[in-house]
Amino acid sequence: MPAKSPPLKPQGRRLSKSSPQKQQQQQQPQQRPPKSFPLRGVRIGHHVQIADVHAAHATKDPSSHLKITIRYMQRTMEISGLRESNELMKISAADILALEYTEQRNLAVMCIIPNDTMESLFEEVVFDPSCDDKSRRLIYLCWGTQAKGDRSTFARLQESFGGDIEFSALDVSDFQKYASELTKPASIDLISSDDDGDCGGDGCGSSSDMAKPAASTAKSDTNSSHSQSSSRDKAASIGASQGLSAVKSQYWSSINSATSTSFMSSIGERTRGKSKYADDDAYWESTNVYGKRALSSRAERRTSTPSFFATESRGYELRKTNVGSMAEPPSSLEEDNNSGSDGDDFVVQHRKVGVDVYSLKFEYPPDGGKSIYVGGSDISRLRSGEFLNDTIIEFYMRYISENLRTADAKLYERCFFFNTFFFKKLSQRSRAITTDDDEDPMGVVYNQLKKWTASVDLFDKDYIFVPINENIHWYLAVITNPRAMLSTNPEASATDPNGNDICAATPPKPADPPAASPTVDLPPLPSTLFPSPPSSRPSLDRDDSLAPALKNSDGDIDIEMADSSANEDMAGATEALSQANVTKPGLELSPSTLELEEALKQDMT
Amino acid sequence: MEDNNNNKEAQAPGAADVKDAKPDTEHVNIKVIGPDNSEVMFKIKTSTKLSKLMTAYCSRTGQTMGSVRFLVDGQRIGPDDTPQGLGLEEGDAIDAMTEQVGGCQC
Repeated sequence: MPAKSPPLKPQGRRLSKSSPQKQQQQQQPQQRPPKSFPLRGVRIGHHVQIADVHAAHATKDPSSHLKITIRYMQRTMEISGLRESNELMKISAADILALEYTEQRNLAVMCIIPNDTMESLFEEVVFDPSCDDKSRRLIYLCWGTQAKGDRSTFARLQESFGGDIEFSALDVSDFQKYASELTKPASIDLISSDDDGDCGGDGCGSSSDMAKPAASTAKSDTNSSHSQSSSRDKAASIGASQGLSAVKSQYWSSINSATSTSFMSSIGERTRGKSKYADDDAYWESTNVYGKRALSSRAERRTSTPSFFATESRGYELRKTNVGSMAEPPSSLEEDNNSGSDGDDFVVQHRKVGVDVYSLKFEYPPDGGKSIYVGGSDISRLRSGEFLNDTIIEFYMRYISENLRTADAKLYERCFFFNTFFFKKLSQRSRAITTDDDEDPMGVVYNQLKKWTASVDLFDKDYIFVPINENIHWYLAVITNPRAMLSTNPEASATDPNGNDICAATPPKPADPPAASPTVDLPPLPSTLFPSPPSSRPSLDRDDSLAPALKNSDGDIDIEMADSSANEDMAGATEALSQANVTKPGLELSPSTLELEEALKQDMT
Repeated sequence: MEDNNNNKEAQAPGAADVKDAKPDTEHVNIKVIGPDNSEVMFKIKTSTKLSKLMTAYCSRTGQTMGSVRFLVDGQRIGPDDTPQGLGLEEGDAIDAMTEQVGGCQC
């Protein structure tokens, strides 16, 4: 079980400086990346940087040949090429699995940074961290041409490995094509069972394509590994033709089952002498230990894995994807291991790092339909000192509106509540201008937003509430009597060029909140806009404000009472919210103020 | 929609090929529009809960489920919703918005 000290890649390949490029270019024309093409390693669209390379111990500490720290969004992962230390292995096995091995089982780290302002557009690191025989270690790097920071990383790598390792930089221009692919709209197929074979074949074909640069470098080996490399190429082509998904699923299940030997031998028939596998088996088994992956069975895996995961995200989809987990707190690794029988999805490890498990706390209103889902991370927003997020805001607006509906249905009919994203979308028109040159920018926005209010006629409403989030602040815009904007009142349009502008561009959509301040003849406003429960505003009895919400929801609201502090904070937040959302509108909607109220940048906490 | 369905049903039996273009009543292509107007197409069964799509999208974009809101026509959707339940049709779009945060430390 424990990895002894066998070379992970017994047969390292060495690169000559020039031939990789040659081979690369020969291979490239055949590489037609499909629309959703999987890259081995870190998947497309993720902003990944190699943040640091700790190579200091590479030569001194046998247990640490190479350690690369990758910052990947919120997560930080370390990749270590070392196997002798179990501790290290514990880290590296999972991470290496996450990044996935090529079929040659060299670690491939593809860091893709779509932002072209980044210095490094594309990097690939393939290293063969076999420890003892330095001549067999391989560092294979593809660097962005002008990446200074990466040069230093490169230098450190080189330093750590001394002169025993040859470094070769690939021509990145070919990979830049991939990078450009990344920014295109992608297509992901979530249908698992029916399309699995087909899509898996697609994806895997391309993944083997991606392997070709590496495989091609093997051809250029000048030493005794020639036969190995050719057999590896053969394996790659086999994989391409057969659809690597089969191989991969074997590969993955072998990681998780005790039968890794059979898998290894099956690969061994294809690629190398079986004799090499004793060490590898040890490695894989150790992977099994530390990777903590649980798969129900190979067959089930084969048929049930969503092709998306099968091709693109394998090894990175480190969470339970079955819906049942939604309502569960983050599972421990052990739970995951035990719950591998879920029929629909494979179950893998929760990563300790950075996985925010979406745990549904409750939804409101509870009668289904268009509910607000308040999750654990949202409730944590209610703690003192935290900022409120859109879910909390929307929940409370919803709470107000629902209460209004029960208290005064007629008034409710005259009100319309946008959600917090309406203004965000609306104010994205500048971006729309840049992306759609032909179309009227406001038209683009309008087309995106018109469905939002398709079910209602905004001009029948008297009050339109638009919560706005800007500059890390929340405020509420209230549009009163939008009908007046339809009237051809020159004064009204003249007074407010901003509002006029927006209105002109999107005539049917009046709800351009803060800008427009139509001052016309509005009907007198009822001062009882928020009649009953929520309008208990300034007093803000927190218990009162919270309790109705819970009562209304009956058993359906499932607040976790275990987290009583959260509930306390909840009450505090509703207090704050009621200040912001209720108090102000209530104050300003006096009959005398006959204009749009762009309310308050109110402190929420 | 009715017509589409009928057509698809008629064609489906013969189509062993399950590419994107495969017409099928059970499957819809749904577009997820990110906050930056980037689009990701998802092919999904109409009966599949959208949590699958959500996790896929989040993992693809490197976000967490808790920080992304999915809206259909301005209405939030939950993980238990299905394309069927929401009446999503081929080519319909889901807006993926990032979490908004606001407040003041006072």
